[in-house]
Amino acid sequence: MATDADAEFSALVQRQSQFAFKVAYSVLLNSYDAEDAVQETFLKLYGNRGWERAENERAYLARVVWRTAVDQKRRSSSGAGSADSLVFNDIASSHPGPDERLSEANQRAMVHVLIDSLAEELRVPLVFSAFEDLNSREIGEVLGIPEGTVRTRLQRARQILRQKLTSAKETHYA
Amino acid sequence: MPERDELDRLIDSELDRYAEPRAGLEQRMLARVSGGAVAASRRRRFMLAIAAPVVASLACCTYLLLRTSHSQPGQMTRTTAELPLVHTTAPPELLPVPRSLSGTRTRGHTALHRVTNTMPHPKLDLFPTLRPLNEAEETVYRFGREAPETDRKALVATQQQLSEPIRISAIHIPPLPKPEEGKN
Repeated sequence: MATDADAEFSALVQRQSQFAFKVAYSVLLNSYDAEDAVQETFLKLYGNRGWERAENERAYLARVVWRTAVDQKRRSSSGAGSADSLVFNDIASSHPGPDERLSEANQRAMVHVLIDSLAEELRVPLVFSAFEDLNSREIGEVLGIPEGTVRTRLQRARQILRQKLTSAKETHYA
Repeated sequence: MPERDELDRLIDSELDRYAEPRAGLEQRMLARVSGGAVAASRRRRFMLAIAAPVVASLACCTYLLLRTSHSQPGQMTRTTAELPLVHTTAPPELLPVPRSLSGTRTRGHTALHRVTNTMPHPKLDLFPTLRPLNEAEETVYRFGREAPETDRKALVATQQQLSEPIRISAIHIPPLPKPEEGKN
């Protein structure tokens, strides 16, 4: 990697790897699979240099990573539904007491697992909404859904998270 | 609703920290993409190393086939021109048609034609075949042109005589005389 083009590509990898990883992880829910998807994405981009023509680099990258991750998920045998339910069941059984759950560290861990346990159609827009560069319209473009649907799904995802967190707190204080 | 605000803050802060990759992701990605690019380049070179000779062979075969098929009409014309003018008793539909005039030509046709072109042509049912006069015929021809008229008439008369049917006269055989008595 010695040419200018390679230097540009290295710069892209440096500034967008974490973002790409988060997008891939939101679909695959596995660090190693997510890294594989990011690698595949960057290999594609190295070949076609599509990000150079993109109006919004992050939106373009998010779309490519998301598609790659979805394809990878289809290829792999582990389905989204079973993984989600498994994760959610695991949290219920692996956290024995409410005291532990509501400690500072465990509270964060629980939110993390609750996000993972959301359905993919709710989880992915929610994770995307945390990126400042992507508004609802751009998230809709990345996922191929209308902007209104994105907003509805975001509200629904937050509502579910709040309900579960409230329920957990009430259990703790009961 | 302070409770909801607190939960929202918790969700937002956790979303910011969601899916933190292991340290050194960028370096790993660069190394893996580099390795992948090198491997892809090697695959491309390998495929090129295989494809180039194959393409070259195909190009040579195509060129040779095209050259062969282009040279055939000329060969056929020359062969036809060299043939003596003959009359045939065979019906036209049974005569061999030159491939250059027969219309459709396929790859198999071309290969078959290349083989048959080197084989001798079949004997045709032709008469008379033009050929130089032999010694006897030459003598007769010269005699007809150079001999005096009397000799020619004599020859014609002889020919006519030879061609006339042979007349055989009735044979009259007298009966044998009766033998005398007492004699043997």
